[in-house]
Amino acid sequence: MNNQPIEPMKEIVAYEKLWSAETASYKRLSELFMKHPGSRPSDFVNLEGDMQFYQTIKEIVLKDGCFRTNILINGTLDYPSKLKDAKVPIEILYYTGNLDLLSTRSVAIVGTRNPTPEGLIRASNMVRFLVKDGFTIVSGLAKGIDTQAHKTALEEKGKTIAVIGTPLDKVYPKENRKLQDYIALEHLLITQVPFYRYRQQGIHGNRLFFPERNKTMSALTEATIIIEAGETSGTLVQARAALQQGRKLFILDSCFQNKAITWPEKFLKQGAIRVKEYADVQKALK
Amino acid sequence: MQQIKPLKIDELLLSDHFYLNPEDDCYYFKEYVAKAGFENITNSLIFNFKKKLDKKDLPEWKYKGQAIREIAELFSKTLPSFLNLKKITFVPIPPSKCKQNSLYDDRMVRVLKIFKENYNKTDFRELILTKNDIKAVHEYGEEKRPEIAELQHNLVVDRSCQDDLKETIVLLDDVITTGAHFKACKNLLQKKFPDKKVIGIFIARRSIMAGIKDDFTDLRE
Repeated sequence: MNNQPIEPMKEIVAYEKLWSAETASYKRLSELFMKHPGSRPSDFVNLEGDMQFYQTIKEIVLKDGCFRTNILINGTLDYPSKLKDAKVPIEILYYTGNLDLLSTRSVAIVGTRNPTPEGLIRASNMVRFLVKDGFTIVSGLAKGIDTQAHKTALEEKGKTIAVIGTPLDKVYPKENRKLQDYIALEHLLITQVPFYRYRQQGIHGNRLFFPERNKTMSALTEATIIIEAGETSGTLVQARAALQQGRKLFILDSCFQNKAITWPEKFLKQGAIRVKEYADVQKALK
Repeated sequence: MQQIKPLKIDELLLSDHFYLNPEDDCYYFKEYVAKAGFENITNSLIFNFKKKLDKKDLPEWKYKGQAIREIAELFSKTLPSFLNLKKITFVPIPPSKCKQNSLYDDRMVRVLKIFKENYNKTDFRELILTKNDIKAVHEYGEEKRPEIAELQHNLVVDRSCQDDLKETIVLLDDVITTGAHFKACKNLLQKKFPDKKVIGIFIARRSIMAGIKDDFTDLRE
C-alpha cells in the first residue's frame, strides 16, 4: 500500500485525468478505489507522459479568482467519513471556504426550483428555527427553495454550506453568481464535479451531475428536509439517498395535503417523518 | 480503520504560506481555518493542545493531556510508514517562551516522549532553544510580525545535544502559518549542519480564507 504523503495538486490532476475518460462515472471510480483499498488517483494514471494536461489543470485550479480550490481526499484526517455511508462513496471532493463547517451539526433544506409563495415562506421559517438551534443549513444553490434556504441562513447570521452540481468556478443558475461567491468566501462551497470533464461535455452530460450531488449532500448532513417538490423532482433523489444512508428524512405536512403527488406517502411508509410543526424536527434531531 | 496519510504543502497550497518556497518539504494533517468568529468550532484538537500553562489549575486542563495523547497516537500511526525512523532526528520548533519562563510549554516534547514509548529507537532532541521570550503568533494582531532573520537571531542551537544527528532533521510544530518560524529554524540548522536535510511536519496548516467585507443583504434583488 502507498503510505507516502499525498500531494494535493498531483491528485487533482490525476482525478481529472481519470474523469477525462469517456466511460468514467462516479460508480466506476468508486468501484476502482474500493477494489484497491488505500489507493489514490495518481496510482492509476501516468502523469509524466502528459505534461500538457498537467498544465491545463493547474491553470484552471490556480486561476486567479476570488477563492482558492482545495480538496478533501479519502485517507486524510479531514476527509469526512460520513461520505462512506453513500451507496457510491465519493473519493475526492473539491471545496473552498471554511472547512470547519463540515464538522458542525447540519441539515439539508431542499425542494423544487419553482416553488409556490407559501413554499418560500415555509423554507424561510424552517431555516430560521434551525439556525436558532445552531444547525448549519446545507443546500444545493439551485433556483427556488435552495436559494431561499441559503439566503435566509445568511440573513439570520447562520452558517451555510452549498453542495453544487457544477465545478467550483461555474455557476448555475447564473443569477446566483454573487450568492455563490459569498458562500465560497465566507462559508463553505463543495462540489464533486470535475473541472475538465465539465468543460469537455455539453449540457446533456453535465446535467447528470446534479442528482449525484444530492446524494453527497444527504451523506454530509444529519437530515434532509423537503419543503416542496413535484412528482418528478430531482429532490426525490435526495429523499431516497437519505433513507438509504440512514439519515433522517423530513417532509412538510403541506406536501401530504397536495393530492396531485404521491411521493410523500411512499417515503412516509419507508421511514420519513411528517412535519406538522418545527417541534417534530427538533424532537427527532435531539 | 484506514491508514491516515499526511499531505504535502505543494504548489496548490504554497501561496497560503508566504515564506515557504517550492524547495521546502513540509507536511500536515489538518486544515486550520484562521477566521474571526470561527475559531475552535472544530479545531479543538489544536486549541486544546496549545492551551496555555496559566490554565493549569482549571478543569479544562485535562483536555490538553488528551490532545497530547491524541497527537502522539496520530504520529505513531502515520510517521513510521513514510519516514525511516533510523535516519531521523525529531526536533520541536521551540515555543515562544524560553525554557526558564514558567509559561514554557513542552507540549511537543511530551508528544515525542509518548511516541518514543511506541518506537524506542526514536531520536528526538530539543536542539533549538529560544533566547528571549517572543510573542506567540496570535498575539501580534495588526502589529507587524517579525521577519525570518529576526526570529533566527533569537534562536540558538543547544550544543549539549548536537552530536550524532541523523541524516534528516524533522522539525515539528502544531500549526504552520506563514512558515517564518520553520524557515528560521531550517536556516539555523542548515548553517550549522550543512550536510543535513531539514523537513517540517505540522499537525495543521493554517488556510487562508480571503473573506469579503461586503454585507450580503444586497444579495436579495
